[in-house]
Amino acid sequence: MAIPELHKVATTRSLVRFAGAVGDWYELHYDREAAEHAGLSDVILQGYLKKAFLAEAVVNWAGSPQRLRRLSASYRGVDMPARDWAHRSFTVRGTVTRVWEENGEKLVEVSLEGVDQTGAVTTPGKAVVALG
Amino acid sequence: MIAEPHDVISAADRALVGVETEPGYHLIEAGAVKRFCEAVGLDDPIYVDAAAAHAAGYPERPIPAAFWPAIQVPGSELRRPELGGFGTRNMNAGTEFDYLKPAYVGQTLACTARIADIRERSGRAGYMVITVLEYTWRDEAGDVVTQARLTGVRL
Repeated sequence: MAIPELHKVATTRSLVRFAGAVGDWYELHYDREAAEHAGLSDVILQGYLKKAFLAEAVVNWAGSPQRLRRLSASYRGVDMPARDWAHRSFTVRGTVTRVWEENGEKLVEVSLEGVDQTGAVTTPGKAVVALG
Repeated sequence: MIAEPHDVISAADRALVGVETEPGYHLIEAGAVKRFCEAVGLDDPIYVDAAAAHAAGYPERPIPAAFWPAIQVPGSELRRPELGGFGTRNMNAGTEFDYLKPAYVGQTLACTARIADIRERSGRAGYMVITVLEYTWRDEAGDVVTQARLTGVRL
């Protein structure tokens, strides 16, 4: 069973806002020359920003952030922000892969995929949600 | 042929496992949560509007599930293993959050960190050392609210 897809577009403003919001000043997320010096063609999204997108998708489906029991993400590929000259996006897809009971709660495992505008899975993840 | 390194994890490195830092105290501020929501495009009002939170059945604005990196600072420095200077790059192999107890705007949470595991691995990609950092947030009652495990690979 698939959860509803979530389509997000991050701009360089998003990356700067996120850097300030979490206090992560790593240059690869907002300093283009530093990113190019590191061999990248543009600045890249923070891993925790992509994880926030995964969280939003599964919390939308679960109905409450307090239904989440576990959320994991791995950072397989980089994502870059949308530009006027480069349309980029991040879409979260998810599928229920397991249902079980534990400590009196009905738990569901959701396999998540953060996918870039080319369809490449850059950010696989997994969530455990308590349904009741 | 360059010899594969092995056994770079020293006894001093292994002694770091399980040693917890001092707690860093974080007041969960409404403004900080609002800035986070704006940054990630999270527009559900329950996180920023107390009336909306109450209407949805919460006693106070709940913390967004991905907010924890904003308060991921312990009270003292977490010493990292030296690994004999091995390796030329670090890779982030993923993060895992466990949510144990609800938490809300206005609470003060204590953040501690520790090395949970250090292990070496030899495989197709060569020799690598995997270090797992664990961050724990506790509420005013001392209950664990959230735990995060961060896996780093040095190769």
